[in-house]
Amino acid sequence: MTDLHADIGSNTPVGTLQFTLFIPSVDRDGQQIGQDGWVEQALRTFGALFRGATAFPPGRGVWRDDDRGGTLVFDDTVMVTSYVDPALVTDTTLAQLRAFLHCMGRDARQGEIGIVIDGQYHGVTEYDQPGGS
Amino acid sequence: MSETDQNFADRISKTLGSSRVVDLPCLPSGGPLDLLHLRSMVAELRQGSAAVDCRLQVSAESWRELEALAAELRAEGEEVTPTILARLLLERGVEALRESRRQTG
Repeated sequence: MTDLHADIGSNTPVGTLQFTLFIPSVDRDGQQIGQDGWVEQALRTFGALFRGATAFPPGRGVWRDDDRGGTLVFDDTVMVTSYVDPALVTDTTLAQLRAFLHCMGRDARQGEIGIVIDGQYHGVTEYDQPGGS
Repeated sequence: MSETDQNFADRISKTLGSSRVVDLPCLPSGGPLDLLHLRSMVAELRQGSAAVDCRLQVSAESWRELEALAAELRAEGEEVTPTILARLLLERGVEALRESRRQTG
């Protein structure tokens, strides 16, 4: 059988778990949140914890908020994706990821922070307070 | 990794402080177009993202029945999990209750 890694001169692939974080452009009231800054922070977090990540440019989206009289909320979500070595998914790295997710949820006034990990959507709605857990 | 998928998912959920965990059927493989699909799926999830905790406990017997039904449906080509079935049945029950109240109310 052909040794693909040897043939193309690559190292053994290690990133097999897909992490995808969704970064909205607006807060729960439809106000801009400074998305570029959050994307930058997400890339830095993923890069430091999991060795790398890619941000995909936003797609124009809209949804109807029935709790606010059917107001249309436009949201241009950016996806930050990383293929992660399972060995890097430790309680320590997850705790640091949690700190970032909860910070973004709290400071960017999000109703929910969404991240897909290994085929499951995790929604975070209750955020840690600064300095606490 | 030696831990089971369920243990892994539980560890992720607990450590991140997830309020809800939703299985994504037909998970995209990760290509650019699949990521667009994934974004669309998650957008739908987030649109209905009022603060609810969907992590429910069901009896072992009910879970076995859900697993069996999901297996039957998968054999027929449907991408479904016991969790998805549980959610559908719950939503259907709530909708029936809502309709009943409308008629009597």
